[in-house]
Amino acid sequence: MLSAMTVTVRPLRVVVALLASAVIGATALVGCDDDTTTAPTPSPTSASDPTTVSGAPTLTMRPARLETRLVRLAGHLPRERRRSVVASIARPVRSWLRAGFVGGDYPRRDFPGAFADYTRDAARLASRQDEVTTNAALGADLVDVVPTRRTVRLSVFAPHGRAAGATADVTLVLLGIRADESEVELAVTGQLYLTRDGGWQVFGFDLARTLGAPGSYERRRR
Amino acid sequence: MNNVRSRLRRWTVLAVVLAVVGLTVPDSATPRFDGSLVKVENARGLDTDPGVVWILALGSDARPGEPVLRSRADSIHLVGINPRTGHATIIGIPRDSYVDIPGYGRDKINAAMVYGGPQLEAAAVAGMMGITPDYVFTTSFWDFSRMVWSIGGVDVHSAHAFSEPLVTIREGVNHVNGVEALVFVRERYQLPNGDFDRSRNQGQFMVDGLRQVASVAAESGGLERALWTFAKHTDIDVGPVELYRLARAVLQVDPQLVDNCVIDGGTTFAGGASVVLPDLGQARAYAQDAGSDATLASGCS
Repeated sequence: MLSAMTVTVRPLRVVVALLASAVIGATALVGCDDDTTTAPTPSPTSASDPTTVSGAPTLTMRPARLETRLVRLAGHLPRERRRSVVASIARPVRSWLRAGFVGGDYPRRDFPGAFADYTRDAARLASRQDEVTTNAALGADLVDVVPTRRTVRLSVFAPHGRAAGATADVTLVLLGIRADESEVELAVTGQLYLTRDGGWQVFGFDLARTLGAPGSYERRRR
Repeated sequence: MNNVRSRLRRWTVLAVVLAVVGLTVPDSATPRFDGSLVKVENARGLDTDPGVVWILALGSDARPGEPVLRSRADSIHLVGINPRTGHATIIGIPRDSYVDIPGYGRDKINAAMVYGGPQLEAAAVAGMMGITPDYVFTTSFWDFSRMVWSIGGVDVHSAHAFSEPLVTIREGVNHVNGVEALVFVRERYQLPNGDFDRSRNQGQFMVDGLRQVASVAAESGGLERALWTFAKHTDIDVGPVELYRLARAVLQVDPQLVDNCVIDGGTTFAGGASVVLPDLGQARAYAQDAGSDATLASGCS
């Protein structure tokens, strides 16, 4: 395909436009802290709620809720539509987190449907790296998982009043419980890249996975 | 008596020292180290079609009031990027290259834009190189400066030192703003190989500019913000979804993995003007080498 992407000259409007973009960017950011922040959405998990950890009946842990937040809106999106747009973009991310890590019964090796909302090529690439993109590396050794942190922060590109692309900054911290009641903490952080092509789909990813003792993710953050 | 006082003073000093040490030095049996060593496993992937994306980057010679898309193409670079591997190849084409322009006979390649805009320029480059660009990106002097300004300037590596009124470029790394960047990419008289070195400098600026863009995009929402600014000042024929995916593809390029070459050629006269007879064998060899993976196995020959 041959396309022409060309820069035109609008000299008198440059400074005004750039100032406007700064203001729009700033107001979008402020706005997202109130009305565009979606309410924390509970997600079905395999862990009972509350979950008994380590077989100790006195220690219970609630699975962390999934928090989705619009942190950057670059462009225009009517205020009344932001909540539904954010929900639409977050849906494939939530689906991946559920099918790839949090949902289903443990122990298991397979995570079917983890990439159902990825483009075909992205799903193929993600499947090849399933030790990071799903819980495949640990799944067979675990009897249960409890998410202790689940956040999705969205940056949305919305020219002409319609969202076209988005980056989802994802943090998932899971407590994995083995049959011998020992625990391991899995943290998956990074970004998913999404575009709206019909529905929203993940077309790229850049993720990192770390393992550690329970609480190590929070200790590293401090 | 003095002896007793002296001993008492020594014991007192010793007791104070021990007390202070005991309070401030942690127990050696339980040393505390707050660092950590964590193994990180990574996964990266991007859906791109085609696997190698070819972009024709044109710098228009338009002066104020002249049409950007129908002025000569002053800088011409065919850029191949491979988002899967992070490799890229920049092939600089001398603007005075004397080649076939479809429908117009032989002429300088930069005249193709005057005759038929970016599409004809792309066709002329395709005829010369054997690669048809997937996208053509055209910018003007002032929009180039503005883009450099909008990303906070660029740390550009210069192989040569030169100076113009108010602008001095040192050999090595120079932080340049929009105006200085324009001087850097336009200078040719003070360079040993004139227009060829200028084309190489322009390719180098793309590499260093990409590094700066990647730095901006690494901030939360940085890519979206940069694209929005870009989209507001650019006439774009591609849809916003395709633009977003293209931007993500470009950001996969590792500046360390970019080959920056310029096609050689000899100068002669044609139609009363100085022209470059490009080394078409070299041009085709570059295209064939980089065509499938955007890498030059043997670098710039």
